[in-house]
Amino acid sequence: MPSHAMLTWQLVCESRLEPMRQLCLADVSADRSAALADEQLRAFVVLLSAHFQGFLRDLYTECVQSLVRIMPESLRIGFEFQCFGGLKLETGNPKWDNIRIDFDRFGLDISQPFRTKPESERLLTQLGLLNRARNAVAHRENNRPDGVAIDSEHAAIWFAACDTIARELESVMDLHLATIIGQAPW
Amino acid sequence: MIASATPRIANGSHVVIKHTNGMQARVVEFRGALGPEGTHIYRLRFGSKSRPRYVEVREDQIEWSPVESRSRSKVNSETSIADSVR
Repeated sequence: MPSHAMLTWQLVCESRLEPMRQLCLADVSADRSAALADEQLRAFVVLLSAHFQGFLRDLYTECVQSLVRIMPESLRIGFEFQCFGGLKLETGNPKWDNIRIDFDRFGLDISQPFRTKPESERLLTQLGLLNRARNAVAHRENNRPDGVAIDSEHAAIWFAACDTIARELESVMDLHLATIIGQAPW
Repeated sequence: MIASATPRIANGSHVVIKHTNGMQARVVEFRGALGPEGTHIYRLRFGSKSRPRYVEVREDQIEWSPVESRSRSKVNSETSIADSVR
């Protein structure tokens, strides 16, 4: 069974991000100037980053709660204080370093399963490019961020990379937490 | 976040965190039905205004603070939020 975070992410992809991406792919026409098309593309980049960060925060919370439920009631709040203090994903962008630091708190090396897959390096590179593009848009840098082109082709690649990382991360945490608690975590 | 769940505690509500010697906090975000069996999770802010800290807890881990209870005359201040909304 997928986590609530994954169900929400899938719903977001289907109902919000994909229609927005399709809008970005549409040809420039009399109703849609090149400037507007560029604005929509930039909006998509920020939305993608925001929703991906939302998924990560939701998944982290679900992971914490799956462990909290097997604890005595009096110990739960102390564990939650530890889990939510100084979270990187609360204030930072969904960079791989931030994801790794937060999810490694559960007692695993989250990078390890990613290292064993040949396509992982490409995925994490694309995630890095998305974050750079997101910052360029959010901070209104007009020039291309370090040579990263913000176009519909890259946006589609970043969207796919986020989706693949989301599924992989959920799968890794599912397996890890099931081993710890002896039952499905969600 | 997209969730079908509807928050039962409004943002800004004053609550007391159970098992903490009466630590008071404010609800700052409804995180959704992310707990076991769809339990509602709330993000709370506590500590000083200059250095706020945050934690996410289940609905059954908090109860109305005395401040909030006074403005909710029909709700018994000894009952948890989870009990009072059932």
